[in-house]
Amino acid sequence: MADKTFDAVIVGGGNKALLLALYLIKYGGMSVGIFERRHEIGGCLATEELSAPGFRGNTHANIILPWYYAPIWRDFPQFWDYGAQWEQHPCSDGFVFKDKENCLAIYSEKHDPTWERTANEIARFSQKDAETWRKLYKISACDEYMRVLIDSLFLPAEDRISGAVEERKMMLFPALMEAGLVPDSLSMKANGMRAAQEWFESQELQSCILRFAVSSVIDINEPGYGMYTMGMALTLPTIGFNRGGTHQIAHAAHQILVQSGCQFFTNVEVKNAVIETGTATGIRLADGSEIAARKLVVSTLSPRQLIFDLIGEEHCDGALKKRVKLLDDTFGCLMWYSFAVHEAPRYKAEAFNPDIHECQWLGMQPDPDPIHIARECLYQKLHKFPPLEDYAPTVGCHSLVDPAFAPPGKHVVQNEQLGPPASAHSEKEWLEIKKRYADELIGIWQDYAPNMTWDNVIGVDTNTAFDHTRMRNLGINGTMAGVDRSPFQIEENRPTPELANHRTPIKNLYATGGAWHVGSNAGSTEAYNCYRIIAKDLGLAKPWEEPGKEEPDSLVEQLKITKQRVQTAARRQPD
Amino acid sequence: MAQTYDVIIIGSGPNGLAIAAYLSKAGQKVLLLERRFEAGGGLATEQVTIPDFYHNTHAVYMMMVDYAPVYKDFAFEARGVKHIYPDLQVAMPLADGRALSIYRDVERTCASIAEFSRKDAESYRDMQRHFEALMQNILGPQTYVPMEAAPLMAAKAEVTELGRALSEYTEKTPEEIVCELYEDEHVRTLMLYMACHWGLDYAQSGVSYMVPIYLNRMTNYRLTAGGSHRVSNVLLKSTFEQGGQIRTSAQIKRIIVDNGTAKGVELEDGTCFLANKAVVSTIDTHQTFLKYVGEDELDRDFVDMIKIWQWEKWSLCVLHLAMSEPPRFKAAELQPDLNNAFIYVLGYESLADLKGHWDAMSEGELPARAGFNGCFPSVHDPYQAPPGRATALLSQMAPFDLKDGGAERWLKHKHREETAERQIAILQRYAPNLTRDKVLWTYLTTPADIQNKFANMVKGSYKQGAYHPLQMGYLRPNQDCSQYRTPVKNLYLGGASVAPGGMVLFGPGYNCANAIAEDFGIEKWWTEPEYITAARENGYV
Repeated sequence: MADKTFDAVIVGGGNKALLLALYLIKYGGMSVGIFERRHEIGGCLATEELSAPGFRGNTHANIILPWYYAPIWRDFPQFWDYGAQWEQHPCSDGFVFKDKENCLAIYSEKHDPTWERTANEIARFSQKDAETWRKLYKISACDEYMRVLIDSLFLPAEDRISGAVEERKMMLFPALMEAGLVPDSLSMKANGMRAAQEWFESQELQSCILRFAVSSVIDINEPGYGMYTMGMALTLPTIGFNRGGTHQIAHAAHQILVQSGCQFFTNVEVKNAVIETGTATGIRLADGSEIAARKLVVSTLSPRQLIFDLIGEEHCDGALKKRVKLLDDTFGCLMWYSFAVHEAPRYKAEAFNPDIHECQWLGMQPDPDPIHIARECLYQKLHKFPPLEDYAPTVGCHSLVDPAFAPPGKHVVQNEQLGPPASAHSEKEWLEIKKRYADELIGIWQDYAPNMTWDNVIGVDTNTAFDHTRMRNLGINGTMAGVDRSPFQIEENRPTPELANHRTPIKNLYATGGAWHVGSNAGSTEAYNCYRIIAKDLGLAKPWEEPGKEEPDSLVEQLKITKQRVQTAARRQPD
Repeated sequence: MAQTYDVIIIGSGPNGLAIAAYLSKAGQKVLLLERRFEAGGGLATEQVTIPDFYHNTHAVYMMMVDYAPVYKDFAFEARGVKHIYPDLQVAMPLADGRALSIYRDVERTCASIAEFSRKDAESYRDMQRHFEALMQNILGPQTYVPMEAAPLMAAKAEVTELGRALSEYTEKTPEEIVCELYEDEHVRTLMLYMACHWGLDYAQSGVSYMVPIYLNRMTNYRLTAGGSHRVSNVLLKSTFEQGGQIRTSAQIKRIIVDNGTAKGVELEDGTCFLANKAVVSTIDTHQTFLKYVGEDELDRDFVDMIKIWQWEKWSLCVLHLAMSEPPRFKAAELQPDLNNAFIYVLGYESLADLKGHWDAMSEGELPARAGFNGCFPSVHDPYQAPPGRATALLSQMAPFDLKDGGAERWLKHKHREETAERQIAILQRYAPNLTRDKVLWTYLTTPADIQNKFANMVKGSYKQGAYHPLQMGYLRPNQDCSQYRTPVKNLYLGGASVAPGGMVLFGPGYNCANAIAEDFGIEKWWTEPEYITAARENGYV
């Protein structure tokens, strides 16, 4: 006899769980119960005041791209008002270089809708690259590109193999031809480092693109990322964040969900799924109670947790178990600190371009050669830190653009760099590394921004991969992508071919999470694609079949609306 | 296009949430506006150290779980939110290895006090009996009914024996009350600390009716299982379930006042929200009236009254620790249950130590020897730390404006590290097993941090303002606003700066919700608790 019963039971209350629940309730017509181990929901949609009270740091997800919530904004208009509000800095990306005290500023689309200002900045290093950049703009702005982009994101693997999808890829070809940017077999098979060198000639621009690739959990030494590298370049001007902090996104979903009758259970550990003759009928909690699921159970756990804890080895065949065991999950382990400071960093490079201060994703490197980033990846693969001269951290100061992030007159700065996986060191070692790295970072930072001394610091959130294990689904290594995004662990292979379409060996047990496609980001693709599969299997209502919501066009439209929204913060007047 | 609600509530701390929960369940369309990115205000639980350690970064000791109507009215237990009520409520270990122990049980406490003074043990028994009667009949009920005008209250007080006793206490200072009741140095120290540490001036008469409250509450502290934030979650969820809404990370620009009537709220980003019925502010009076209403909309005299509002004389410096093991107090060698106390008072070996701490703070100083209270929540609620490990919070009274360097000094990295080490060293004197290597990580929140985190806690005033006789009771925040209505029509006050005051009481929120319901003819789904009805019938309130 179950203690509680729902139509759908969701294990885990993070990003993917919340967004999927929205669809199960509104379009699936289901009652939903969400079970979360931690004291709060939201998972990696997290913001905390760990550097010092009153200073907001996004402890996990931070970068938000305008497509992340396209379906959610389309289908749940209050999602924006309730807190999922996209925003951009004046510069979305950039790099400062110590040797010449210069910098490359990539302006955000909000402040540079035609990418022309950026082209002019790039021209200071390479005219040829500036022209390539203008061509990239044309591609990014065309509907054909946006359709192909949306197809690649918001369709589960089995639906990406379709005539219509292939046709839309072909329709992009002329635009690529016109831009002279058609990839050949070399550039497609190249690693990021080589691909960036193929497309661009200035090391400054190469570094910007490659640094962002690493932030997308791509090892730039690994072959097969030619097209991804171009995609990275196209993405740079669209880098943004969520107003008020990433956690606001969780609040937005949570509010809609509770208003719609969803029930939440936090501080609750799930032990396993209840499986009867190969079908999931519910879950069992650590305290022994049972929750019945009339229609389905959804796991948002890691693949390992799913197979070995939730389902149990005995229900899975040897091949699947082996694949899940062999999953790589040691890249994408980050040093992701936040510093509460009296003054925002003042970069020497401001003489070259004063806008560089308000750059959301600013790399710092001794010289423009992206070899530093390549070495960082190599060392990370060995689970080591690179030598100090190869440190290429990325930093950004949200409070300059969104004062809500810090108390009046103060600031909070975040920094990212690859670090060892959590399991590479003992707890004792980590507690020392956390402090040591803060010292190293301040030391390096001063070379670029002399005011970044310890006197300028109020407090530090030393947020490492060790700390990221607070989210159990990030595994023993605390990798931000759940599982690596190596060439054989992406797209239709993510996390494994057997699991990529969100189905599991157990009937009525579905799975999604950060280890599914696309992965390593705060977006809604994993949740939406999971709903697509569930809706197909269970015959549920499909928003994408409603008039006006055909895809990819309705999502392309939403993408444009989102970008427009940020351009014009309309003042609303009382009646 | 503005969105319209029945009631707009500024601030989603305990009081704002209570108002939203009561009124939304009464069928009102409510909107909460919260500046922070998290609702709950002081009802916060955060992972501020390392994974799997949960810390209650603000409110910890829940003092009115037995009295506040909110707990029953929203069926907290049925929603899975329980409170833990440890037997040994307060312990004061001493350097000589002895300890004073205050239990829920009066006799066990008397036995502990008797080891210091037989006379004091007897006095304690009488005191608790008397204070329990005062709490049950007058002080508890008074928290959840509106204040009456001072002369009326004084008249009522004269009519009953309990009322007269309360008036007598009010005319004394806390120090006088404590020293009349007790003779032993350590007993006096502990009692005076427990009576005053929340914000009473030990040498000031006029609000000493709070002494019976705090000494009665001394044996009534609870811990929220799973963390303090669970309390705010219940109220927020209930609000959502009833169709209420919240906007977090919302920065207010102004309260829209038209012809002397509050009509709604405008945010900095231009968004406007309109209120058909009421706008409630649960934040401090300076932000409410001077910033958001604007002096132009108010009488000169009223503005002056607002401007003379006193912030609190001291705030808190709280150190949170993630530890590899729980404390083993030296004093537990003689008394094993001492490791299970809820609240520890550490570092005050004499009354002079304690008074010295207060006196120094009025000069902007914090003595190196200053004591604090400590709590190890995971000892009582294993959820809050990994198995075998422990959380700790060390809460020290501290001035906001430091003589040397002002409030800014609290934000100097070096000073913060030194403060943390100093507090740990004091803890180690009483619990020597907690060598420095056992402290895995620390997180400090100082008076300046409190102001940085909660804009309404000016100068770290976590009750939104001093507990001074001229701004308590019927005068909190002033005679024009202490009954929740303000000179601006349809603008209400419902936070800690209105009677009965701060801490997690839910008093202002409950009373304000009642006031709004009465003023707008909203049918109440909630009924008055029996103990309040009884107090009315007996002429106490």
